[in-house]
Amino acid sequence: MRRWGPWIALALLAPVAVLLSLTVRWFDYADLRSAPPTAARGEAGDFGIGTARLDELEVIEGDRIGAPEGTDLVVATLTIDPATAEGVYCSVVLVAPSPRGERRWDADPYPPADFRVPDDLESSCSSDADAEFRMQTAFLVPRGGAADAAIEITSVGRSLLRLE
Amino acid sequence: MRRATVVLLSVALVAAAVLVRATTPDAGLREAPFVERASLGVTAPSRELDVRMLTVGVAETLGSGDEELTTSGVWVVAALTAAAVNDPTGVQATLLVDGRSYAATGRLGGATLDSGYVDPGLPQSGVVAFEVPRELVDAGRTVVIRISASSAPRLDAVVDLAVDLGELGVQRSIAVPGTGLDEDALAEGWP
Repeated sequence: MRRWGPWIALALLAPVAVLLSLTVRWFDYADLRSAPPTAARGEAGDFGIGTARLDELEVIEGDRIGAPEGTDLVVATLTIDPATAEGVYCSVVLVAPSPRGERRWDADPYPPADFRVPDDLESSCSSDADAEFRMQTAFLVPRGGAADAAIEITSVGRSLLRLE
Repeated sequence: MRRATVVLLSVALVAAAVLVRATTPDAGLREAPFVERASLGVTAPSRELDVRMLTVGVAETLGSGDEELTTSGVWVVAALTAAAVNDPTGVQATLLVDGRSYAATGRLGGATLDSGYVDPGLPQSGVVAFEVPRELVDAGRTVVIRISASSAPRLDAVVDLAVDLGELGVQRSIAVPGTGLDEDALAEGWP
């Protein structure tokens, strides 16, 4: 037994050392990919410079609204409440799961002609408003791509909030 | 017996060290991209982009709107469809031959696919174009058209299409169609 003791110790310690070194790296990676705080549909959540609430996330078949066949237009309506009188500068993206990972879409800069943001709503997340305001934006996605979709709102790359 | 074992083990270790030394990848290979070989008309998946190369042509001039772009060599023009996989991303195109690389032209402004972004699952069609010496065509060289999401794809996936320039005739001019959503690819259920 004494003869095999060092070999057994080596066989145990070597994998443990490898695992430990990988685990330290994994924690760094996991920190970078940490899940953002979330707020359920209709509930407000803090995103650093105010609160945001997802009021509605409507999926419209593209060909019903002048978008190309094979696409959907996802229309998100949010309520933003700035924390200060200086307004908010933020951006929103649409995220949705897919078999190859989570997909993300920026707001469609050229929405279809038949889509129009109502006059009483803002078309951008950023505003110099000092009081609560509502905004609406649209995302073009492939047909069926917005299943289980959520909105992520960031304040100039600092805070992130997921609205589900 | 024990002495012979020690000698044999020592020789084996030295041989293993020589083998490791001889097969250690150089800096270029350690950071080389992962290549997905493409063929015309077939969608090639990569980590960030799905790419379908459609056609490749060679021409003396490029027609873009009212403009006719000339070059001191010839134009190699590839038509392709590409969509992002998960995140909106740019499309980078490079032509590789004999250890040299030619960047896609920026002379066409926003008319080429590499001038903008593509979104996940929304295939965009367009062209990328390169100015290359005419000798490459005359000598019938095989070039590689590389499509990637980044201009320096280290340890990342790229899509390579090998093109035998000798098999392509030199046309007088190729018209650049501009970029746009590929509705046919969408309708057939891209990718």
